[in-house]
Order: sequence, then C-alpha cells, then structure tokens
Amino acid sequence: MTRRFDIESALVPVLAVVAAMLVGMALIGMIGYDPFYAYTALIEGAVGSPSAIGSTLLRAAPITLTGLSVMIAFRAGLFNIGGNGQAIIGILFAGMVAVHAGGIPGPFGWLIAMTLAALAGGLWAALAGFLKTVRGANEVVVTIMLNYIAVRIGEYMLGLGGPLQEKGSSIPASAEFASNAKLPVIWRPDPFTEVHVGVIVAVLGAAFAWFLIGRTSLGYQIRAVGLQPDAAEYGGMSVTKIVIIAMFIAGAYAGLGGAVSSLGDLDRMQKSDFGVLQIGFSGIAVALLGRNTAWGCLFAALLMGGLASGAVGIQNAGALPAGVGTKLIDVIQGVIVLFVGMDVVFRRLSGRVVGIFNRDSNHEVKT
Amino acid sequence: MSDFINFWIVGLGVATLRFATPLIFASLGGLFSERSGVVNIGLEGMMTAGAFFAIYLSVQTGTWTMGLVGAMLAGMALALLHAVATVTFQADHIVSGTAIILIAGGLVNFLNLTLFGPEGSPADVSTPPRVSLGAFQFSILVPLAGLCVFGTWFVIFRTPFGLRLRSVGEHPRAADTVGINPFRMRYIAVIVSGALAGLGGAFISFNVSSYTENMVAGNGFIALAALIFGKWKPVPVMFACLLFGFSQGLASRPPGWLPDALSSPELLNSLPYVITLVALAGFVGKSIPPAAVGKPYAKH
Repeated sequence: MTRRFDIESALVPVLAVVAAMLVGMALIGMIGYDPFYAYTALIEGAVGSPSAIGSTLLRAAPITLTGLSVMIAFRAGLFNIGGNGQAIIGILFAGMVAVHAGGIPGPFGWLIAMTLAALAGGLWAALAGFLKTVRGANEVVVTIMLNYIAVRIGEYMLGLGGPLQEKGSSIPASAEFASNAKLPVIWRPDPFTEVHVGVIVAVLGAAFAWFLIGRTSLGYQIRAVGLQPDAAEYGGMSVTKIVIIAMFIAGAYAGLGGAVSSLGDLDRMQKSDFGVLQIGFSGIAVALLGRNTAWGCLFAALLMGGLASGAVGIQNAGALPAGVGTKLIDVIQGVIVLFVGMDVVFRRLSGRVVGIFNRDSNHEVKT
Repeated sequence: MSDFINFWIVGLGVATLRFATPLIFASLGGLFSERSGVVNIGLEGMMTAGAFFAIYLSVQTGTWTMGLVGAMLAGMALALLHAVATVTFQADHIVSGTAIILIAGGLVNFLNLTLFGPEGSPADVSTPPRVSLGAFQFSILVPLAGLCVFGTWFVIFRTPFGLRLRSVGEHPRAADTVGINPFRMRYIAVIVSGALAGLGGAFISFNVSSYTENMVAGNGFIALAALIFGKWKPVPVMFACLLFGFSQGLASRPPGWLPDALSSPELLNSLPYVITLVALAGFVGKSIPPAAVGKPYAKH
C-alpha cells in the first residue's frame, strides 16, 4: 500500500491548531488580558531557552507514548480511550520495582521497571481487546471503566495501609524510588531541568511503531483488521487474535508512557496522582492531531508538550492570572481535538487553500 | 437497634440518594442522546459546566433557581457544540465527546480562576431548599430527579416525539423516508441531554455549596455505565443509578461488620465500574444499544 503524500490531510491539523490558537486569543481578550503578550510568553516558555526546550521535551515524552498507544489501537479499528488506566497500571508496576530496586545492579533497575510497566499496561489493555472480540463489549466503554478501576486500584495500593504505601508513614505515598530506578539524565540545560532518557524512549517508540505498522506482517494484519475486519477474516487472519495483540501493544505503549512520567519526573508514587492523571486523554489529542501516523504522533506530542511548557512561561511572565495558563492550554487542546474531529470542514477549507496554488488538480477524498 | 436503623435506613439511604441523584440526571440525559443515535461521553464535561455555572449564577443573582437555569444552559451550550460536530459535520462521536470533556474542564476552571479567583466561590450561596420526609432530609432536586425519570419514560415511550426520536436512533434512513428529520431530532435530543447533565452537575456543587476543580470526578462516566447497565430504559437506568449510588454510599461509610479486605472505600468505589464491565461482557443479560448509535447520518 503506497501512501501518496496528501497535502490536504497534512493541512487539516495545521489549520485546526491555528483555529484553536485563535479561540485561545479570544478567551484571553475576553478576560481583559493582552493575548499577544500572553502568546509571546507562551512561545518563550516553549522554545525560548535551552531549559524551555528541555521542559517541552520532558512534557512531550509521555504523551508521545500514549499518543502512539491510541494510534496503534486506531489502526486496528479500536478507540483506546483507556490510556489513563493503562498508564496507571504501568506506573504501579514500575513503581513497585522502583521502590525495591536498590539491590538491582546498574541500569537494570529502570530497565526492569519499564519492561514490567509495558507488560502490565499491555495486559490491562488486552483485557479490553478480549472483551471486545470474544464477548462483544464496546471497547470505548470498557476502557473507560478500566480507567476508573485502575484509578481505584492505585488509590487503594497507596492509601493508608495499602500494599504500596510506605510502612510507618502517615502520608498516602510510596517509599522513595531507588536512584538506579530513576530515569538517567541525558541533558541538564539548567540546574532545575533534567532531561531524562524518557525522551529517547519516546523517539525509539515512534520509530518502532512506524516500523511495526508499516513494515511488518503483523502491522499489515493490524491495518487490514482495522480497515475491513470481514475481509481480513476471509483472508485467513484471526481478527480476535489481531485485535487482542494490537490492544496489548497499545497498552504497552501507554504503560510505558506512565512509567516515563513517573520514574522520570517524580520521586515516589502518591495516592492523589491517579485521579488527576491526564496523559491518556492527551494521547487521544496527540494521535488525532498526528493523523494516526507514528511520526505524526511525535510532532503532535512536541506541539502539545510545547503548549504545556508554554503555560509555565505564561505563569512566570505573569501574562495571565496565576494558574490560568494551564487551563487555557486545556481549552486549546480540546478545541484542537474538536476541529480535527470535524475533519470535513477543515478538509474543505484546506482544499481551498491547496486549490489556490493548484487550480486544476483532482483531489481524491481519502478517509 | 436504633443505631442499626440510623445507620442503615437513614444514613445509608440518604447517602445513596445523594450519590444517585446526579447520576440519574446525567444518565437520563445520556438516554435521550443515545436513543436518538448520538453517543455522549461528553456528559462528564457537561456536568462539570453545570456544577460551575450553578454556583456562579446563584452567587451573581442570589437565587438558586437562576443557578439551575444557568447549569442547564451551560450543559446545553456544550451539547450544542457536540451536536454541531457530530450531526452536522459527522465527526466521530467519541472524538467530539473527548473534545467536549477537555474543553469543558479547561474552560470551567479557566472561568473559575478568573471570576472567583484562587479563593474560590464565596461562602454564602443560595442553594435549593431541603425537604424532610420523616427522618430523611434531602434537596428538592432529589424528587425532581424522580420526576425526570417518569417524564423521560413518558416522553420516550408514550409520545409521538419519543417514537420519532427512537426511530432516528434505530434506523435514521427509514425515519427520514417517512418524513422525520433525523438531524432535527438528534439536535433536540443532544441538547436535552446537555440540560439534564447540567442539572446533575448542579446537584453536585449545590450539595456542598461551592465549586471545586474535578468535583464531578467521573460521575459522567458512571452515568454512562448506568445507562448501559439499565439497557437504555428510564426505570432500569434509575435502579442502576441507585445501585451505583448505594455502592458509593457504602464506600463513604463502610459498615463495621464488613471484612477489612472488602471495606476499603477505594475498592467499594470501583464496584459500579466492575458491575458495568460484567454487564457489558454479557454475563448478566446482554446490553444492546440502539442500532444506529454512534453512526453519523448523511443524506444521499
């Protein structure tokens, strides 16, 4: 299957982002602040200095992985809204290793923690794939339920007296991660910003997903099942098997995303972390904005990471009232998802943009 | 003995109603929407908007009735956005719902911080009066939720409008052929669903007389679960909500005789989701959604 570069479909996300940024400007104007000053601060906070770039990379890494998770499930024709739950299960397993990793030699601490996180997240998601294909349960609702069950499991594990809560402590949190389970730092643009190996994991993850989906027979089968399950079954593939495997891989990515955010950025697990986890939802935005391609996810995650880091820039510059910057970014993210979802409008719009340059071409509308 | 009655009948009864009421409003909203063929996972976001605007308008006007109106309008506005995306522009219902959740969460907290500031809403908020029934005391929104169950049943199953709405959810093309406008019906159903979800959110914030971030905390998703568990029928949906409310009530005050392993509030709180999973997997009576749910409809 050759993929002709389709300028229209590449323009849709760009237009969606531009439109969403305009909505953000309107909001800032509405509360009486200067949108241009705020956006300058946002850009400063995203790419304005080495530490800003470092912070953007750090924020992009976990959501690249959760975005790839959503992307892979999408390719198999499934909507994996369960990235949060899979990430939580990943965090719990990675964290379980990390608090006991003191005795594990060298880099094996974090490597084992990450591997277990991927396996556990994968199994958690495979359960949804199983219920979908074997029992006919809608994967969207199943993964939402699994999200909340995962939240409760996490809160139970780290609650007072829970199995992972630090013994003898009155704080609902785990013991501190052993230092060899924390992700190694690869770049320190300033004393407060430590860019860790999670960034490399994310890039390798995207490369692996690109190879898997586009260059392997498993990837071919995943795409076939996603495009036309009946034809795939007729062609001799086991749709049940492929769906469960695809969900396993998707869950492994999300579990890895959770582990990267936890072992990379935090010193311990806390009960209060689970209910407010957002990386699964951000992964949906990343996959949609990345047009369900591996490299697209990487770019989209960089953009979203930049926005999140830019919110800190807004905060530091005092361009908006305290705390408002991150909320603004949430809105912008939502509007991007909405606009990319309303593909038809933007397709028409981008068709017109392309048409200006290329008046007599016949555009194939691809779905 | 009187301890037993106090704990079981009064305490747990009131807690059950308190947790079930927002679920009932929101799941009835979901029922309207899904019966017309539009999946609405944005309920969570619409409830969040309802929770905030109930308090905001109640503070601004000094009357809780305006708060309720505001909550419904806020839910309806988000619902309209969902309808425009899914019905007119044929966006994927889940994608649009996800967007609604993100937008509502961001926007509401944005407004909360700019309108109320970091201290949050003022202490004296006009809230709906409480009624008492013997030893029970609850907000008048509780009986209103009961009325909505009856009203929804009546509208969906006993009126021509309800028949049209269901026909659009089962087979929009057939409905279109006999002169029912699927687009119009779906717009109406989704907007009604936003109003009901807004009411559900209002109950949550009125209950504690203030809005705080993330206070809806997954109630929209539990409502969706109740909708499925109740098989898209108003009365069974209400019972599903009561069951889920009961398990949340139990979690908020685990009785002493439960074994320790089972009395963890977190695990009790996960019951609604586990029950729904079991139901979805078809182990206790298969839940079958309306035939055309989630499928965009386009005229040829």
